[in-house]
Amino acid sequence: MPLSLVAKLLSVCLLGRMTWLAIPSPFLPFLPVLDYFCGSQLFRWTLPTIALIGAVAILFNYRVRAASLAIGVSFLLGVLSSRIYFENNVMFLGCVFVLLALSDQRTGSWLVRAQVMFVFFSAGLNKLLDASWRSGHFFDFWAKMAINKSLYFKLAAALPTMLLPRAMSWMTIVMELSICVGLLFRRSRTLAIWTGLLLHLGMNVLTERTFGIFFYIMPIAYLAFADWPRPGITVLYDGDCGICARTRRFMERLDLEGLFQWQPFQQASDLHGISKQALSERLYVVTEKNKYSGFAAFRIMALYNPITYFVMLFTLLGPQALYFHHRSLLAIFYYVLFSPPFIPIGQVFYTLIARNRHSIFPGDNCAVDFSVQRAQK
Amino acid sequence: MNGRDLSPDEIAKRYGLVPEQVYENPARNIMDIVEQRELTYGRNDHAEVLLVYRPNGEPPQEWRWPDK
Repeated sequence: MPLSLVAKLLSVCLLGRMTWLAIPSPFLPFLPVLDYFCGSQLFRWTLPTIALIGAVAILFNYRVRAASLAIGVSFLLGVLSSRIYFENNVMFLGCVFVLLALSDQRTGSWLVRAQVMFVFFSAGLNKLLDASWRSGHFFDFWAKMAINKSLYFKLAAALPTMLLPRAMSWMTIVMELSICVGLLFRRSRTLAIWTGLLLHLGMNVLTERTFGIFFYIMPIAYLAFADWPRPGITVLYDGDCGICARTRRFMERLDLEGLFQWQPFQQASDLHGISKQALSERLYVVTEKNKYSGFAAFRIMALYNPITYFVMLFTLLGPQALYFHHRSLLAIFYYVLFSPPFIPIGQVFYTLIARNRHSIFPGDNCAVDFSVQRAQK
Repeated sequence: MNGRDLSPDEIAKRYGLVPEQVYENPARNIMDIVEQRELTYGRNDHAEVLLVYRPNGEPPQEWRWPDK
């Protein structure tokens, strides 16, 4: 599941940002043989057309692996045919699509995972071996060009000379190398993914840039590390609650993959060790490995629903002017909303809504009132 | 070329690069592009190229093609 989702999200990205259209005609190719096609209109339009058709095919679930290969080869051939066109983000996009095509039951997600880890390893190592990065001089110079947040410069001026650029440089190096190592092991993978998301978010906040399409495609590629659940995740809810029943109908409409099985706990044969008291106060989601309640339950349902990622991607794909040049604010909102530290805050809101649901949803009654239950404790 | 400096538009068209810009890649990338252009499409033009660059804002350095 994750890899097909990765392919679809990447396809939306290259369609939405018109990346397919930017594949150039040959000019100063890395491979001299491609000079043969210099000036050829057929070559000029064949690669973008293949990329476009491939992206549409993926979105319609038609020959996904073949389409991925076609897209990947188009971008890689585009890079090989023009030194000017070479950019890390385009190279990464092409490689990921080729690796998606090569992935099967035997390889699982490991080809794409290896590519992601290699990018972070080489990025971190490249910076570590560069004296101008180690000294902070590159970051200091680059900041003047790229960073558009005055707070950074105020802080840099308030601190000893070069302290902030050097700190930012080393923080970047350490983050990139630790992300690579963290992604290697199951226990540290979640932390590594959130660190990676923080790195991309930080770069976007400081600069309001998307670095080509890196801002989109790296987080999308992290989905290759997600342990996607099998269908049949149990959702236990209060069957006597009208609001809960409405919520169930709404969520089932969004559950296009049929991942979740909603059961009123009053009729469930297995409560998975959860007390009826607890089930009457909160909705529970039971996966193979964990139980989630309240806000955490809705959070995990959202994270396991592909629609969530399409919504986030679509809302972040717009031109910069759409966000009044502050796309990062929306990105921060998504990051905070889904980050683990926000769960306790989310639970407070969940409890608040649950306690006041009669005034929020007038007309939807529950057989057992939540506030009455609390008074009886 | 032929004793005449190219205009910014001509430079952009010849190398596919903006004549004056900040690049986030090493200067060697630009040099490779210039070299390949002059050794292939422009081999009969006998162009002389002067690239003035400042790595990370340091004092300007010059690179010439061909080496003299």
